[in-house]
Amino acid sequence: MESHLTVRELESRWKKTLTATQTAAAMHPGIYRDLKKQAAAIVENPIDINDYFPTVEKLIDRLTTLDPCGHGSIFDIFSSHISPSNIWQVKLLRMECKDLLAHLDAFDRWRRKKHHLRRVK
Amino acid sequence: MNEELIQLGGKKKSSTFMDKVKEILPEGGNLNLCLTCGACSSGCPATGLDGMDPRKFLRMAALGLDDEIAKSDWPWMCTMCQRCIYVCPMQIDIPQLVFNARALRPREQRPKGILGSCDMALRNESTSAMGTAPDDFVFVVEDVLEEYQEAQPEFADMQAPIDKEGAEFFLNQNSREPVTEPDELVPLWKILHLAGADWTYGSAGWAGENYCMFLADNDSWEKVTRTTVNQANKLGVKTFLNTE
Repeated sequence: MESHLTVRELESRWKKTLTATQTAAAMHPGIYRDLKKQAAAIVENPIDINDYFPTVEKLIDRLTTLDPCGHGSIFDIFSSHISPSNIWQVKLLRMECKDLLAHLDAFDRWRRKKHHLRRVK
Repeated sequence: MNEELIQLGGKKKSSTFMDKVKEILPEGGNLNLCLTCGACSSGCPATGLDGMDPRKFLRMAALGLDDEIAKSDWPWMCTMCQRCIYVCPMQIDIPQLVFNARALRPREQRPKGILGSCDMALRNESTSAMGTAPDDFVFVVEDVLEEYQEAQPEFADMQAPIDKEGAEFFLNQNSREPVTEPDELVPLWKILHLAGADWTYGSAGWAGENYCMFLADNDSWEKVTRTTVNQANKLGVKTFLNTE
């Protein structure tokens, strides 16, 4: 148990996670978009129990393609969270996908903020 | 919260728990940081029971998954030990969320063991979850005291007062001890005797356990606590020694 963690250390970890996520997403932008679509579909639609493993397999395949060497990105962390060996209850898949999308949303906002881009009408 | 943080709140439906999470999140707190932490889960004695995971529970609350929380048994796995708050770098009060989650379930559908213990405590003035009546408690205390005074001459002067007016300390007692392990009452008496403490039990409100708190039944929790407080006040005791 890491009992001596400080908020500052966690903030530093989070920044590293965002940076690793940016590198990974930049390498595979298409897969990144597909991942978000698939996670959103899982959150919004019911899944037959028979489709659970193929669905998770597909999701994990995308996550590991994005960060194959485990550089500590959001994809890396969630490929472990979503793995069937780590989900104790099948119904938690939806929660994990919602959580993944919330983190990716925070990542997208962080990335947009860094670029200072403005839309010209 | 700045723009980088996970946004709490959604347009589609209102969520009780999102608001609760906002309330307990300290100034400058950022729930994104939980992703690479998990100290609460590592420190929780209930982690793994029925898949219980305090970090996931917090996430469910932050994501507004109220229905899932209400249906889940996770809140009932928590012992309210508060170790998660102690280890959390942001001191997020997860047990408060657990308490709120317990209150979501209709009283009669809450776990039988806790419910029964709370109801038992409301039956008489002892506030004992085992239903021990005041007379029985007084009898056991006097009987055990007499036995030890005789068997151990060095403690012949030891006292275990009940309803002693003006004592310095009002002591409570888990009712399992007088009922099933009366000899376990004695070590604390000995310590207080050797320390020269002026203390007393109350014939009412002596039972220290409060299952109504674990049941998230505020009214009953208050009733049990008030019984103890009223007895201490009635005796003019200023300091309450909570052994639970």
